[in-house]
Amino acid sequence: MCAAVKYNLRGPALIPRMKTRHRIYYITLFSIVLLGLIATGVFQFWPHSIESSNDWSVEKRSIRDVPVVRLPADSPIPERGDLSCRMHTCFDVYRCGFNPKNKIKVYIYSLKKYVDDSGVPVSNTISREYNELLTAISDSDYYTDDINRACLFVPSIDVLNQNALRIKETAQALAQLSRWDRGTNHLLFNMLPGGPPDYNTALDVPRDRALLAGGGFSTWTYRQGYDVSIPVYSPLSAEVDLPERGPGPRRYFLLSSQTALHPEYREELDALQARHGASVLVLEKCTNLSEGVPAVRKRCHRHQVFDYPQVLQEATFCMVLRGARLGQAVLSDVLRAGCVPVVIADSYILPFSEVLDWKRASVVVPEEKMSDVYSILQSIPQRQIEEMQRQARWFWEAYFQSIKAIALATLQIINDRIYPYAASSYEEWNDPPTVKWGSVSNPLFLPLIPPQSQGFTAIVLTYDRVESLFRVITEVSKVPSLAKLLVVWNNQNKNPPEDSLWPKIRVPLKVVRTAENKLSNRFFPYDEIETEAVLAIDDDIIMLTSDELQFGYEVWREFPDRLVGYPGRLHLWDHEMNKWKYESEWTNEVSMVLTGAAFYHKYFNYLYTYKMPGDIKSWVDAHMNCEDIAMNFLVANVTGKAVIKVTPRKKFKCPECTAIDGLSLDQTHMVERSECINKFASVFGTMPLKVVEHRADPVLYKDDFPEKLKSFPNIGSL
Amino acid sequence: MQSWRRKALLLALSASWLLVLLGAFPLLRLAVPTRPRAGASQGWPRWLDAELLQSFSQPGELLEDAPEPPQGPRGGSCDWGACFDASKCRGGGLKVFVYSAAGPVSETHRRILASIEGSRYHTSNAAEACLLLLPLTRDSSAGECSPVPPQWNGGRNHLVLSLHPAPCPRTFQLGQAMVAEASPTVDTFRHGFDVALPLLPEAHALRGGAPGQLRQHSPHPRVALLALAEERGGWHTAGTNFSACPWDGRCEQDHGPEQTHPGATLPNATFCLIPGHRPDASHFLQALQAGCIPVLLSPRWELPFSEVIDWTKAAIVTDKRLPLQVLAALQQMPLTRVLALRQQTQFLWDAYFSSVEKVIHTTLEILVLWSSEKPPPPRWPETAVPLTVSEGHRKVSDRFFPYNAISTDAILSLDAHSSLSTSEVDFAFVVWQSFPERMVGFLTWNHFWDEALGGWGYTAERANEFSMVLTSAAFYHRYYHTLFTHSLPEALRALADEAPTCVDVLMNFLVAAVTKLPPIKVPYRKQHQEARPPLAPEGRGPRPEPQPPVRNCINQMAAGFGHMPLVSSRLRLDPVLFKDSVSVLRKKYRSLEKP
Repeated sequence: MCAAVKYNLRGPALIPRMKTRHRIYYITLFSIVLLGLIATGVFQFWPHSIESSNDWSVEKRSIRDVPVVRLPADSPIPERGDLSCRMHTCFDVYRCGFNPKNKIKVYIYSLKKYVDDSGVPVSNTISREYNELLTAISDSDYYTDDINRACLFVPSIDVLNQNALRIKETAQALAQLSRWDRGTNHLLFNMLPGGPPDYNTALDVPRDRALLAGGGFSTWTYRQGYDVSIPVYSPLSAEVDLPERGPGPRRYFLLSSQTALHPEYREELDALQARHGASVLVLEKCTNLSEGVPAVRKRCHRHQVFDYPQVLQEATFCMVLRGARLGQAVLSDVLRAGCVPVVIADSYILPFSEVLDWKRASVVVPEEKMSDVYSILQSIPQRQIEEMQRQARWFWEAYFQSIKAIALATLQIINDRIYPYAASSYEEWNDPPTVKWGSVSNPLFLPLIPPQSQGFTAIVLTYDRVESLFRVITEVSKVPSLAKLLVVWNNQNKNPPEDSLWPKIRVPLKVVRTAENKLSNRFFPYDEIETEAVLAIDDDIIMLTSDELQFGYEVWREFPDRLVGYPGRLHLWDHEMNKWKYESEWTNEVSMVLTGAAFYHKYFNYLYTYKMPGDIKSWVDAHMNCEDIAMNFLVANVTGKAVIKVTPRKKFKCPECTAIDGLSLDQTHMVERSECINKFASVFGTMPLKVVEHRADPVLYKDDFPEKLKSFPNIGSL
Repeated sequence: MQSWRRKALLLALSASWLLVLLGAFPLLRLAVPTRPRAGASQGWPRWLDAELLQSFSQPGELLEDAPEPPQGPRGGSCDWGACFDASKCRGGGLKVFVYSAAGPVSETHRRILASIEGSRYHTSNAAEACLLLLPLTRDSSAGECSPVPPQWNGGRNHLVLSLHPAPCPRTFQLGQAMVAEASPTVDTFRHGFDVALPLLPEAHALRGGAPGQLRQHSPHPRVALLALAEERGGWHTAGTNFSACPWDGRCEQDHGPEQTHPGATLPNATFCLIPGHRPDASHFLQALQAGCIPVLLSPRWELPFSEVIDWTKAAIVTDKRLPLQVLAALQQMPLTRVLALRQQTQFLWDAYFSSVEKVIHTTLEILVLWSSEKPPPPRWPETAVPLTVSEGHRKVSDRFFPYNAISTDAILSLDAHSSLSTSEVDFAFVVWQSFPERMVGFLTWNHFWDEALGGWGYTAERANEFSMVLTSAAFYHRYYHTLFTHSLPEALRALADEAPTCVDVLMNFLVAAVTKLPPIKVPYRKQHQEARPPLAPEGRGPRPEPQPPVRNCINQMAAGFGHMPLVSSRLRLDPVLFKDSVSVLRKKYRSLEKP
């Protein structure tokens, strides 16, 4: 670009006519212009090149050096929090504009030290936890340092603990933030709200429209769908090393570990202990600890001293009672110990209740029913208790254990509100990883019998056996429910026969020519498939009767989420070889059906083509074998269900081709098929195939009943 | 010549300038100390003295949280703990008393009363009720509203129910009464206290109701992507190119042939776009029934039963201020998600919305959920192995009482005189393990519509189809015992007690209503079928003509369920080698084949 400019400026035709003194002048002029251009370039690219090199980006500074901001006594104060705020009224979603990753951008204001008119600090500059919190946001994908691209703004003014700040001055400090704009899209984090004597359940600092991530909201202060309820972080999470303890019965049934309780609650607890004896343990603050022992880490019952939080691991249920504040740090300790919290705090909004299902991890008891708490807990079955213990521990690991976990969960909740169609599901929030991995969720879970009128599409994969293909087409076209016939022509060296040569059939017939001779072409989700049911059939399967195919289709309608096929196969564990073995003998069980003749839902074509795990798809194409076994694995893995074999066993013979029937195939074939099973089982990481002992026949099959009255008389005949 | 040299000199000079500057630039950059511009921060700084920072709370501050006496409710809002006296529900659980209207009873009111009276929560004694229900209805006598009821007490333990939004100006303060209202605005809705109801059309079925209209799992390839709810109440479908449609629900141009549907016609599209205004709530149920995934643009009303229904699994709630994102998200939505959403719409419709009765019962069940402090048990019992045979004949429907002793999942229901071989039972049990949600039986009946009599009939004659299996010998999940005893209307169980064959019909109705699938038939040796008397239900001759009380039974059941849930099947599950031409020795269930 520079060069082009240079030529334009200089105009080559001018030079011969130039005089010497002019020459110097021009050179100088030109140099200045060039310098200017380069300087512009440098300015334009400078900051970006710095950004790209992260190594120098982390500032090494001291907190004592942060700039001081003096707040004039008369500087503006924001309105008090607007209780009617909702995302669609108070939140400016335009700032979050189009974002292909569906992730909000969060900006953090730089740290300042605020002092009032007389130079007295407004608060401690920043607490350890708030520094951790901002570091976590800054390290996350949400962070942006470009204030103009930000969707959410996080002030660096620390309001985690209301007791540690001056309310009016903090509000003034908020109001003078550069993008404050009544607090729109600003997020404040507060864990300890309110102060004596009345202990409000939300931060008292006037904050106008700012979102509040608060610990200890009540139903009266919490703005559903706008604020975020967060836990009160327990510093013990980081200080104490507490090895995980699995679920199961524990020494104490119910334990209370809180030290500062209202006398009324204390009486109630003592009464519980008197009634139920040793299964209830009520702990108190220790009065006579020796010097140097931190009181935070000890609890006492009469003269017995217990280590805290270790003692929580000795109890099945742990009380979490309301103090002056609704949010209690003990909740975090209790969850960590795998003790099921019994929350007695009317109107308390549990942490992250917008997304977390607390019914699975806690028992919430109304304050007035505190005396019944023991019988309420006893009515919960042991299996459910263990589930709750596991869930409690998982909640702590995922959302409570560090300031970072709390910060990221909060941002994720807000993110999910802004891009709801990309939001995490209930299961993603609530299911522990073991459940997530282990569970099968059938993609076709709705029990639905598709209407018979829709029919099915037959897909015949063929290479060059035209005569046999035409026979298959003719046979299949006799099936009443056939809606369309699709021939997948897998031979690139030969053209399919001319239109006039094809059999004349009553349904549309389409020929799809493939680009490459691959087995996976049989399972491609072709646009031509307009029915849900697909019949995959080889070009040599001419022995199936019209009754058998029609019956197969009707069985599929009752089991639309399964593979419904004719020849069945079995996998077996070979104890000698210590691996899986393929079996095609006459067995009492089936776990696979061959896709040389099988009905299935067309959705499985989509899964086979786009969602097949690992390298299975390409492996099958390379080996030209086992595409049917792969399909059986895929369907069983995603639905957790077995195949349905229909109609009796028959010899799958055809005059001119290699039989699909295992009996007539040689040993190498069996070895190859066994290898496929072992290969797929290792890719799937499990053996998804299910073994069953049944097959489907027409109701009156082989019954002593007049044949002419049977719906499907022609079944099982060769 | 000289000019050429001058030219070359100039060129060389400028080129060298360029080179020097470009070359020097990286060096320059390295040389300049890293002084970032103010404002161009590079992330939150790593403070040198971060270790010295104080915790947000003083040690012990978290413990010494000053004790505070228990607080009463503060003005303004209510929640369950504060405004509801649960002590009244302690005895018999949630008992509901319904105020009767002073004047003439409207149709809606009558329906609500009928559906609550049929439930197990109903009581006719206001004193023993823990919940008093006040239906607000649109009376024919224009604008008249129910007066303040006698036991009002500031609305405590009252539920004000209005199926249609704001039927009349409220003449009294709601106070501490809960409100169950159709499509309440989000601004006044009290979470955990009020209940959001769906906006039901006037002609909504009392019970049963029309089934969901989805007939296949995946969208048809040619179906429109999007249908837009119109202000007049109809729908407007658009193809994939709907950029011409502004987001208020009107399209500037039509795509293809006439695609505006009148109010009654349900759209055939994958997504149904519903603007957020409150009157549009009626479109919501329509879309749900049609299996058209509702896309709600900033709804200002609370979604129905939002306390218990996870709507993110069946609908897309989004912000109308971000139309392009929504559009892109719909177009790019993976097929897997579309399938899941579509199916969930149908599940929800069938479970909670298809009839007035279901809506009322869901409301009551939410209240039961709130009033019991015990955490709800996990939903469906999962494992399936051991087996209990239950026999009890004091009262016919006793067989379905959920004995606490029954700790297993499979139940083989047997009449004392039924004779099954162990092989038959073994195979049936193995089959049931594959289909634990269905009934697996040996003898079957089939139902049919009798044109001549204008009602349902059923026959035990052997046919190519069946829709019921006899419980005189059948496997099913014990969960159905619980349902049989606790969720069936009293009237239907009474009917079953009167006529023994009715029990079979009722059990089959129940399982079919839950599963939407037919039962499963397994093979049964012939001589038993010939020797019919011991196993066949009483009161039927060899001819298929059913006896009048039996015929009445199936029709009364159908009326009680509000629809005919039975589904027919044409298949039987046999052992894999059943009657195949292989050696009998190979066969596991060979005794099933004995002549």
